[in-house]
Amino acid sequence: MVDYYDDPYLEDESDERFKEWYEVEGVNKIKELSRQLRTFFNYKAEVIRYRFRSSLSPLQNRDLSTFFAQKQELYSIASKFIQLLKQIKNNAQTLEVGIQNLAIGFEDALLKQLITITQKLFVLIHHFSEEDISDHPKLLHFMVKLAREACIVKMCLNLSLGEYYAELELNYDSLEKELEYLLLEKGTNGQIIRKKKLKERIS
Amino acid sequence: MTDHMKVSRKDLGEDRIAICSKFGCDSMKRVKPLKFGFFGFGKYPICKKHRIPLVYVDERIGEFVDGALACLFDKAGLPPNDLLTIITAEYPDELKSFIHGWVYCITVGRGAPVVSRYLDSISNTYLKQLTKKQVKSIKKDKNKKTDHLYQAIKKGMKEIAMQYTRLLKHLRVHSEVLVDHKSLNALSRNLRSDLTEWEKKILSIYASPEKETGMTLLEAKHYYDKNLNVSTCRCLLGMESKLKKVKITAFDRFSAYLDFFLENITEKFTNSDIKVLYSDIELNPIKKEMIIEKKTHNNFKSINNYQEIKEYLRNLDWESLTNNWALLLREHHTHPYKKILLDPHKEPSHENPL
Repeated sequence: MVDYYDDPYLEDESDERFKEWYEVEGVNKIKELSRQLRTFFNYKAEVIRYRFRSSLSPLQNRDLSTFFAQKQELYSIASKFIQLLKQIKNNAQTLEVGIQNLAIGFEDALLKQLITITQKLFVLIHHFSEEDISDHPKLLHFMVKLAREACIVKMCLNLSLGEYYAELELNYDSLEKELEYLLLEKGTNGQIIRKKKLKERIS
Repeated sequence: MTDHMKVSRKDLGEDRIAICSKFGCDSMKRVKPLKFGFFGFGKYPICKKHRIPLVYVDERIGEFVDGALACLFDKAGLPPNDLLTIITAEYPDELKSFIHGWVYCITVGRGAPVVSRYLDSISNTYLKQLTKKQVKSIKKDKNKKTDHLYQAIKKGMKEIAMQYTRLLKHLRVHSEVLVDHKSLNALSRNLRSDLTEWEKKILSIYASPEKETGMTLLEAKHYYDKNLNVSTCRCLLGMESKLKKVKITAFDRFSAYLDFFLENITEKFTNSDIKVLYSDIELNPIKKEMIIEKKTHNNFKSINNYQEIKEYLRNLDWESLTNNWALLLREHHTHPYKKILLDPHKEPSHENPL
């Protein structure tokens, strides 16, 4: 056991090639898995904060101009993403079948576009997960929905991590349903909907 | 090769190697974690070059995920008794809401958002170790090709992805089975205020351990559980679960819990454990009466009441209430915790503190 740890790790040229491959197949994939996990739990934490926060708690003090600029960028990319998904789903029964047909049908341009947009979208999904958006419930709901759709795309495109993205998609789906119910209960203004009391009259 | 201390574990006679998870970094240390005593906080060795914690080498990556799950679903994470007593006395109508809300917040409160940081280090080390072993075996056996190395990496990555998926699945199942989102209710302002007070009180006692070294595993677990319960409480109040006063890193908490898990001092909570929390108060009229008496500041230990209570305790059907009579007790904060088993059929005494 002592000898094993004493051996040097890299020796000759072929190891350089292997090192690059290791970075791609190993380190980057682990980074991706960890990042996705963190993003999901960040959104879950935001849903919990939205659910239980006091009505008296102050809104976050943030740089609004930067925040709105990032929101604009998000909506722009999300819009392209949604258009692309609609186009792919057009001739197929489900989105998954549509994406698989892209690969089989050698529609490289469309496939490449989908990969690029999904990648850009995930960067923004990760970014917003680190922002405190519990006081923006509609945006929070939108992010969770987007993340779910992006997971479906990743599940179809990435065979080696397919099961992971399938499970992640189920988690986002569950979170989305919970948030939808919560939004309905609380009302879009974040206020609890009070039932109107009818006045009793003596006829 | 850098630091090399040749020490061995007293009980198992094994070395424990900690290495840096960064690719190509040779930083390594042989450390001696004792089972009892000398369990330190923030004392995990760090790589001098990269300033990140060294990770204990273990090819069984599943065990690390077991440790993380043990932390997130430990029974000690359920609402503590002192809080339940306050809520039963002051806010009996909100008891169920409080318990359901607490269980809903448990995984996030106890560190689910930061589990990725811990798993990141572990996964990188696991893959690095796997690769090292494969490189060595290829060099020894000239018939083996580099293709074997690539296959080993792919297999390792598949294992890592499977463990991440397992973690997500556990958390989803917890959410579906143990929590009904539609029945979660907001807490009243007064209860929220009391919870904030409780949180401050616990932090003032447990924010910094009395001694950084010299705690037993049970004491260390108690310390972690108290602080993690405060994080869960903060979630329930709609606040950030991160504690500024207490610096428990992801690595500290999940590594500690892996040790607790391997020593079998963790226990996963179930639906029955949750139901026992509020049924225990409902079914036991004496306990309810005790809490009400405490609230109205009556002298509960008057002779007549005491004799009646003793008689009632002797005749009660204890098996129908609970089957967990184990208790961690210590006489003084400097003494270690002792595990004792209560016997409700015997007289209450110093050795049987019912």
